[in-house]
Amino acid sequence: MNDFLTNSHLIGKFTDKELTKNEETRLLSQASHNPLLRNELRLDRDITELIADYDRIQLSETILRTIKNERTKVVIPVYLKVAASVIILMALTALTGLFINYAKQNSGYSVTTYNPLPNPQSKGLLGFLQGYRKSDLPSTPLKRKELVQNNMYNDPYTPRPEYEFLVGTVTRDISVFVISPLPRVKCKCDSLLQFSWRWLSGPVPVSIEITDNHGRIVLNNMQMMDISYVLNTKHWARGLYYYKITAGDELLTMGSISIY
Amino acid sequence: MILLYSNDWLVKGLMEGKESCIKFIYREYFPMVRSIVSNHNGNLADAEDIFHDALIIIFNRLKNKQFTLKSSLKTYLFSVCRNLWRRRLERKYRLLYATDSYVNELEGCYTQETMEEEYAEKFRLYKKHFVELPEFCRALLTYYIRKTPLQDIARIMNYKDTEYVKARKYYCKNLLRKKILNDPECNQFMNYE
Repeated sequence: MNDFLTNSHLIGKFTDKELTKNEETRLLSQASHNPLLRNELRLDRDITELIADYDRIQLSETILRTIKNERTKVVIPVYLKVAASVIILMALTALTGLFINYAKQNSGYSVTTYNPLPNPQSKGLLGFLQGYRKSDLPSTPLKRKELVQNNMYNDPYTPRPEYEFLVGTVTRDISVFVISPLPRVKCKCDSLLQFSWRWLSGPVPVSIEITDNHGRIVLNNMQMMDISYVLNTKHWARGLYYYKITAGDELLTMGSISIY
Repeated sequence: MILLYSNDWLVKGLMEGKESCIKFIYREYFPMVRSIVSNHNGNLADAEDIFHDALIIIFNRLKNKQFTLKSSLKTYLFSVCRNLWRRRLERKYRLLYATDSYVNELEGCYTQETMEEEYAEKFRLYKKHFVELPEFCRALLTYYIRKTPLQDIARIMNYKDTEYVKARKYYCKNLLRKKILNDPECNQFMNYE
């Protein structure tokens, strides 16, 4: 042990062949009867050999780093991946089926039409698409009046803030130019209100939709190829209404009609 | 996303120490190594050691120009890992149940493969203790491994001259040797007295 302590600083020099002849002889003679010193000499030689190849050290570091990084990762078993894929596929198929079915029920109206008026009666497919169900619309003027009267607010002129915000909205679409009505119209009950527009680059089907201040659709005239439409408010309840004029999928304008 | 690589690409990547290649080998082949080890009384840490050692052995063999890889890397890795684990188990049981006959037996069957295995294990042990060294020692030895001239090391590390660099290097190697010799794992496989 004492030999080892005395010669510990000489071990490295011995491996590097930097000892003098006398020092080397003395160290080897001491190592011959000291196993610990012999071990140290062998180990030092091994370490020198081990660190001689820099590429190997780099590779070892890369392997150890990869093992450490990959160990912390959560590995999802293959059966779970397959199960998740099947569930996603089934959900997508179901959604596609719903979408196609929905589009079929509402043939003649593009399901992708954007409707800025939230409609509590038909929220569309999972709320993404605004729905227009013909069957929900009042078929006669009397029924329309009943619907509005039954569902009016206490004050039928109460504006809806989200609708008011959109009144006067004009699209940048240049295919149709709306002449009348104005964004905010006041008319008596039992009067005629004219909607008119001009095509700027050829005939385009135009739709008019009128909703009450609850957001319920009371009139929906779709795909008109005329350049005007006259609304008779004879059977309409007094109150505030909002109209929306669209050309194809494009919103042209929005406004409000106050019937008193 | 895991891409599928060809055998040649994997061998080339292993030789160049490409991380993407090692990652691919780990992801694709480590489950196989783990199953070899866990089916024969081993745990995850053993499997990781075997995987590391096997790749180092394959790297060393591939560096030898006389060696040609005749099978796929996966097959070769499988056989190396299996042999490595078998020999490690044998040694473990010898140490446990027949300590007295160990030295003689080992001397009798000291093959090339045993040497390679021992070398890989020594290398892993060296790496393990190297990272535990003080910062300046790791830096100094890293420069030394990269064969940086002693003058440059002295300048980078603010040492007064090359003699002092040598003295520090011997000190660091002494420290490393002591750490390795004090490791119980060292006595298991190193052919020291």
